[in-house]
Amino acid sequence: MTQNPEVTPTDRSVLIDLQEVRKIYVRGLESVHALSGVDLQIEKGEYVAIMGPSGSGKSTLINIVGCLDTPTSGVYRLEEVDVSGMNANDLADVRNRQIGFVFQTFNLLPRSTALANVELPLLYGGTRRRLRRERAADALTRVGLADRMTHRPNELSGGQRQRVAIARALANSPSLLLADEPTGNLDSRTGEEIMALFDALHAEGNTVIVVTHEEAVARKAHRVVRILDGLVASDEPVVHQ
Amino acid sequence: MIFVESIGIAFSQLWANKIRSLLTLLGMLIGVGSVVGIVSISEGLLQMVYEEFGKLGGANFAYIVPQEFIRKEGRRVRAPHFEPMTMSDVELVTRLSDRIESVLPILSTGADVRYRKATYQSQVEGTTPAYAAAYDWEVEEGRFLLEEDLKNRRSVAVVGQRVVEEVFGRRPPLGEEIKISGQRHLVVGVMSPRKIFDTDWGNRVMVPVTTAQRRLLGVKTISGLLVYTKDEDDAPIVLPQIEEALKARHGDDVSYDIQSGKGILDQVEQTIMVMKLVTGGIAGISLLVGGIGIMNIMLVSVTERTREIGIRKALGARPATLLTQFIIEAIVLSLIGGALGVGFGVGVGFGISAAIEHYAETPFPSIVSGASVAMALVISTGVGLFFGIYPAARASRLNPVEALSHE
Repeated sequence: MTQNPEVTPTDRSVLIDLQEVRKIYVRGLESVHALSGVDLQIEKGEYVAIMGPSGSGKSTLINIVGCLDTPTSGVYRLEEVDVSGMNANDLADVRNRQIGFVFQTFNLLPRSTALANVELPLLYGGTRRRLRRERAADALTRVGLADRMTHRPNELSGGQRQRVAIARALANSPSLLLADEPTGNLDSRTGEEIMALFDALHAEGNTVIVVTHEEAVARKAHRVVRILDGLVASDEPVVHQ
Repeated sequence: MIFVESIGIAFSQLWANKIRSLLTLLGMLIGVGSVVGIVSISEGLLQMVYEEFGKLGGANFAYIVPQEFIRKEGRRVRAPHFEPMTMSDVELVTRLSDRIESVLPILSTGADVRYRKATYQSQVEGTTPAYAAAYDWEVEEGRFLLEEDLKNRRSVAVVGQRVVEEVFGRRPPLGEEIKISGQRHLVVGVMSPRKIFDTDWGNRVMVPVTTAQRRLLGVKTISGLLVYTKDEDDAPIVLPQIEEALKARHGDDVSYDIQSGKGILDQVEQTIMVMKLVTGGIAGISLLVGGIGIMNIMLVSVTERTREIGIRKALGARPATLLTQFIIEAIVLSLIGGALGVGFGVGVGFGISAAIEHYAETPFPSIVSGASVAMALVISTGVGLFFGIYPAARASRLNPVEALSHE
């Protein structure tokens, strides 16, 4: 996989802008501070790894970045639009158009074929049936599953399932590709294949954010953000040999 | 477009959970089926009653009978004054109002009819020429009674089909002499076959009322009057007039039992209506149970499919879109159940009417009215919708993160 040469800052624009983002869960009488004021900026075309031990708040962070969750306080601007106060419908539209989410557990619909799974975001985005088929098939071809379109998830290997999930995340050409422990349920060889795929997608110009606790996975990225106790503990570029 | 897709998703979801869907369908099917079945049988019953009343010449008749005994505080006591009617009362009432079509005397007795060696217990009716027309009963052979028969107290008789079968066999009855209670009568006519409310009128023998009074019963009176009005709605106007006239002649304290066909028909209709309501209520309960079944299925499927809902939300499904999907599932389920239920109900209706026809040997129609089918379908869909909305709304409001972490 070829790495993108460093792009000059003028070519870049801020894609994600988090300011003082807090997330407090109230569990009965207790309140848990999952995020205690996170400031984070990620630009278009970046490849960022978010690391941290379990319970550090990294999953909460990626859920907020992915608009699956909303911050308790603070501001989140996605492509310069404040999404922190959006209602359920607008958030659904943002998730649909701007975000491609890849989960640790794949989260495919078990009774639907690979093609139907990849079609879902296009369906909710209102793409017409024929175009939907085409785009979903294209996305599956891009992840190397052109010959598995009519298979259901239980007829696919773990790596293939994650490829379907990636194809689904790509289907609507989102501005942001999020992956939460994408290799967590895969053996190391398959995991490497999946990470290679992310490398390639980044090389094509996609902004990629990967949440992981594996150093090897994080080293693929160009920048590592470490989260500890709901705060950004460190934020450093990765030096590639 | 999402809507069309939702129908597809709904069908595939229902198909994926075949057993569960089938059980829910069954609930709906039985509910709707019993509603449609019961309504069609009730309709059939009403139709039958109307037809039978039609044979009686419609519901435009009324019985007026002086009462020797009356009910007082639940006990049967002698009426303060009893005065039997005579043929002059028939004349009196006939002339009373031009709303009156005809007035027949009621004078009936059981008697043995004998011809050669055959004997048959029949019902002898002392009556007038108006009888045949009033009952819309046709003469098959010969003639009916004539005014001259009455005037001259002729010993003539018009017989029903059963009497012919029982005493004449294959012999032609016209012109033969029969003995009614030992009195000789000449057969002048044979009536056409007739059955009303499962009662065979073929065992009847009609003789002039005057002949019956003198030769068969030895009385000068009649039991009562059968009044035919020109229209069903005339009864409420005419009957009080008749009662007034009769009391003016016989005394104010004479008690009359007055029953109009319309009144009887209304009572029967009311009874059938009550039956319809009660059984319909029971059927409605099973429809409700079917609806609760749908709600149960929907709740279970929402819980079971929480993860799926989370996935769909993560991919950009709006709450309203998910709501639509779940509601369509409920509607599809209840519509299919309703449609199958209509078929089932029609089958049950026809089955029961066929069983009644077979065992009771009387024609009994089962009438499937479009209204009852439409009502059952609307109700079943309504029930499905009503019970489907709560789980659907719950599903659509789920937080995507929580939904996704659901195992």
